[in-house]
Amino acid sequence: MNLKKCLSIFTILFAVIIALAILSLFTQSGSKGITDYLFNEEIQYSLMLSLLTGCISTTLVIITAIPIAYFFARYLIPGQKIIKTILFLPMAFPEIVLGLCLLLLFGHPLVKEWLSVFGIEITFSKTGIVVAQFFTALPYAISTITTVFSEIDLQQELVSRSLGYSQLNTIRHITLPLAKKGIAAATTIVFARCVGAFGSVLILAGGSRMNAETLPISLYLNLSYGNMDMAITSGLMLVIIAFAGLFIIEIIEGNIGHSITDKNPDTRWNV
Amino acid sequence: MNNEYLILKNISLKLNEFMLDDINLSINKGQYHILLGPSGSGKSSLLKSILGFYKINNGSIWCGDKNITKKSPEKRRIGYVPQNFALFSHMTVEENIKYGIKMTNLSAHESDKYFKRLIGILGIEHLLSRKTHNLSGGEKQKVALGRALGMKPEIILLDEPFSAIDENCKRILWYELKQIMEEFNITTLHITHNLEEAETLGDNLSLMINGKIIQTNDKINFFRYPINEQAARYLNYRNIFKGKINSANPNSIIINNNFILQVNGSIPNSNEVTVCISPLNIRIIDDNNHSDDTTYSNQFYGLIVNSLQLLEYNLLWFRIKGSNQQYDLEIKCPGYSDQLANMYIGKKVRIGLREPDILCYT
Repeated sequence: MNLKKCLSIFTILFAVIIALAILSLFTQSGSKGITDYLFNEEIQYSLMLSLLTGCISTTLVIITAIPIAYFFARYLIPGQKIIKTILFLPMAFPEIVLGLCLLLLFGHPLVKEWLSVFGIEITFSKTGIVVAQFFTALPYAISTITTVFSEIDLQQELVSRSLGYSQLNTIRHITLPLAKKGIAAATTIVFARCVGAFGSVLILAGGSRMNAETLPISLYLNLSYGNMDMAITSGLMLVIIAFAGLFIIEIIEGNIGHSITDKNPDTRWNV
Repeated sequence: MNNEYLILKNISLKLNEFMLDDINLSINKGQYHILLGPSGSGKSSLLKSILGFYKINNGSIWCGDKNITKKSPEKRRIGYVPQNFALFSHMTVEENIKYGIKMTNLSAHESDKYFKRLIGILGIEHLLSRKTHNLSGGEKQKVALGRALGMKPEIILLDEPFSAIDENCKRILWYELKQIMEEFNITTLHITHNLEEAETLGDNLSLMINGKIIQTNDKINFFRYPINEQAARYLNYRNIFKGKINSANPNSIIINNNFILQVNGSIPNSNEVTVCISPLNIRIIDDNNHSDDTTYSNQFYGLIVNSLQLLEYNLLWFRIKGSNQQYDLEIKCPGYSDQLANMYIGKKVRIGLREPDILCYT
């Protein structure tokens, strides 16, 4: 058997395992069926809360990530590697630890008192959901958008500046339009990441029923109470959101069918 | 009247391990100046320093009587065509060119008139609605040039603009580029490592090696009189020898104990010298043409030991009679030479060298 066949079987095997695991969500749904649970008040609440907080935190993440990513892609300062490592750290450790860290920071009396001056209450509140989602997804956004900016030829920015455009105008007219697709793809990933954030949201926002109950929290709570059908419905909602997200990325990147790279015979073994 | 327009005074720039060292250069208004040098010699770094993308450590950059050293790139008003053209891929050809025009002070009517003149001179009217990614190399170059000219610069910097263009198209584009620059009377600094391109386009030329400009001349003297052995090597002087002054005749040099060259009046005051001869300056003497006998004070008998026929010229390797070298001289003959028909390997010939074509350096 040649390498192509071996690798094909190996890849397909894992795709099948994951597909079966996802399909089991659909096959295990109870007698009432998914559609009935979709209109359940708790599921409706957690779906709406997830979408709302997901939209807010995604917007905040992207607004924050773009300047940081541009900085990483275009500048070098002493200690930059340390700064980058710190920002990317939440990707490497469990979400639940991130939640604990955020709880200790925003639960500190001094910080709490300072935030209360502006009327902001982060711990065990809906605002906490947004904050937890924000810090969970931010490193992914920075990482993805940094790659997008790095791939844009700096010469284009140099030319724009030589033509009389300031640096900010160059970013506005050249860099951002060229990064549009990459930023859109990053936004989709970030949205899926925000909606799916669990550990950090549970610890910081509390995970209380019909209050800070996003879809992952709903899944967890219903599973704890033995309400499998509700848990499965929450899980299905999350799978559908993730699937829609990945599908949108594929459309953005033009990967429906075969991409340009797929068609290029020089990028693949043809024997 | 002092007509210098782009003036670089004592520029130094340190970039990691590389350094531009005490660069001085002045280019007259409307002049086409070529900066020649091997890859990695610092040509592009100098260009980026002039544009303001690198902050120089020492020296100053002047545009006419204005010191622009500390100005930001957008305030220098210097046009730039990078090596890969860096066209804005999210814009059409028309949008690329108008991007620069927007930054001029022209009224809408004047902008439109200038745009039409520009695309007419460049001959790209038929490309306006096209995206840039599927243009040919020559078309991309014209769009990049149009974009740079769009903001009406007084100076334009071209970074190896022909490196991505087919060999077949290059020569006509050289001609067109020169015409366009003359039409707009723009002071041009063009960098390249291609000797033919440099010779065709440049009014004046400079040679940069290892971060230093070692020679600046007008076109004729630049190629005829390289300033030192290093410059001669780069300018394709393929016959380079170490020699000793002949004690018996101080106007001659003994090369490798093999042959003696007459070099009246140009011998440096040193026992050991380096002799450089261009393969183009060695002639095969026609035994039937006796005028050659007096023209060439250095004549040698020997034989052709190897030959290489190329498209536009032929290379011959010649061994002087009695020499123990594999070959002594490399000769470049034009492809159309009648003599070449008989230049087979092993043929005995006589060659001649004029004294002024023998360059000696300490």
